[in-house]
Amino acid sequence: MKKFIILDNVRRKDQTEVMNEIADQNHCPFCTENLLKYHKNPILKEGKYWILTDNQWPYEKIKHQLLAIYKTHIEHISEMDPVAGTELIEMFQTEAVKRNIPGGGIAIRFGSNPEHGSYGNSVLHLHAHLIEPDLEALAPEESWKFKFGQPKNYKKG
Amino acid sequence: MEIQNPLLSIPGIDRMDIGSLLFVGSYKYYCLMVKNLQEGICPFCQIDHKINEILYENDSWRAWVNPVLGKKNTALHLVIPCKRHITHVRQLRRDEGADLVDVFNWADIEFELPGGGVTMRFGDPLFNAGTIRHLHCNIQVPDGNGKLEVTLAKDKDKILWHWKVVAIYEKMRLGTPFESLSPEEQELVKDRLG
Repeated sequence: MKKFIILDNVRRKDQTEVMNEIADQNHCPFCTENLLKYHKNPILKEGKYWILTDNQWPYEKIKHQLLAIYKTHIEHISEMDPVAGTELIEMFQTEAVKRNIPGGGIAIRFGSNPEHGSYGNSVLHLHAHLIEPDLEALAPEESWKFKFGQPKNYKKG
Repeated sequence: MEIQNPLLSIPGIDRMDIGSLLFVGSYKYYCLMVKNLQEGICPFCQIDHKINEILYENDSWRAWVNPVLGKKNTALHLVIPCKRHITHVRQLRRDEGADLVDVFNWADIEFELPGGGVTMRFGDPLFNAGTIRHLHCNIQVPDGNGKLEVTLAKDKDKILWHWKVVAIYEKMRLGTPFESLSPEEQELVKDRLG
C-alpha cells in the first residue's frame, strides 16, 4: 500500500489528530484535491509549480515558517521541473522581502527509505520550508536545528 | 533583534562578516578567516582545488563533496556554492533557481540519492549559524546510524559567549600572548587554540 505520511515524525498533538484522519483516508494531504480539507491557513500565492502558505503546524521558536508545496505529487528533488526552481526562489524572495527576514534557512526533505528509518518528513509529498528562527525564544544552550535524518526505531529523548 | 557585540570592530571586516566569525571552531581557524576576510578572499570564490574537487558545475553553481570526511551520521554531504558571491536568497537570479534543480538532477544520477535534506542558510549569520557567508546549498544523506540535523541558530546567551571568545581571539591576534590573558579569558579559549 502506498504511504503518504509518516506518523512517527508528527510533532504536535493537534497535528496528530488530523494526521490520524489522513492515515485512515490513506491519501496525500498535500495533493491539491485534498489540501484544503486539512490545511486551514490562507494560500499566499499559487504558481504553476508551487503553493505558498504559512505552515499550519509551525516548529517551535520560529518567527516565520513558510511552506511551499509542490503542486504535483513528487517525493524526490530529482523529480522537480527546473522551472520550479525559478518559481520557488521567486516566491521565497518575495516573502523574505515582505517580512524583512534578515537571515535563516531554506530546507527540503526528500525521499523515503523504510529500510533505514526516515528523513524526518511527516508528509512525503515534496515541500520546501523557509525558516527564520526566533533567537529571543531559545533557552540557554539551545540551538535551533532542522532535522532530516532519524534511524529506524529511534527513541525520542 | 539587536545583540550587543562586545567586540567593537575588526579593521576591514563588516558586522555581518564578524558575525560569521562567531562560530569558528578554533583560534587557528579564526586567524585564517580574518586574514581571508581582510584580503577579500572567499573560499567559495577562490577555490582551493586540492581541498574542494569540483565534480559538477553549470552556469550558476558548482558542486563538490564536503572534504571533511567521516561527518557523524552522514553517508554523503555535497556542498553547492553559487558561482556569484552573494549572501541572501533575495539576491538570487531567476535562472539560478532552475540551475540549482539541474544540480539536484546531476547529484541523483551520480550518487543515486535515496533521500535526505537540502538546506541553504542565508543572510545574517546570527540567524543561520553559518561560517561561510557565500550563499551555498547542502545536500546531506543520512547513513541511518543516528540523527542528522543542521543548526540554524544559537541562543542569545550562547551568541554572547561566542562574542567573548572572538574578542579574546582578536586580542591574541593583535599580539597578546595566551599567558598574558586573564585566568577567565584563558579558561574560555584554552581548548580552542589549535
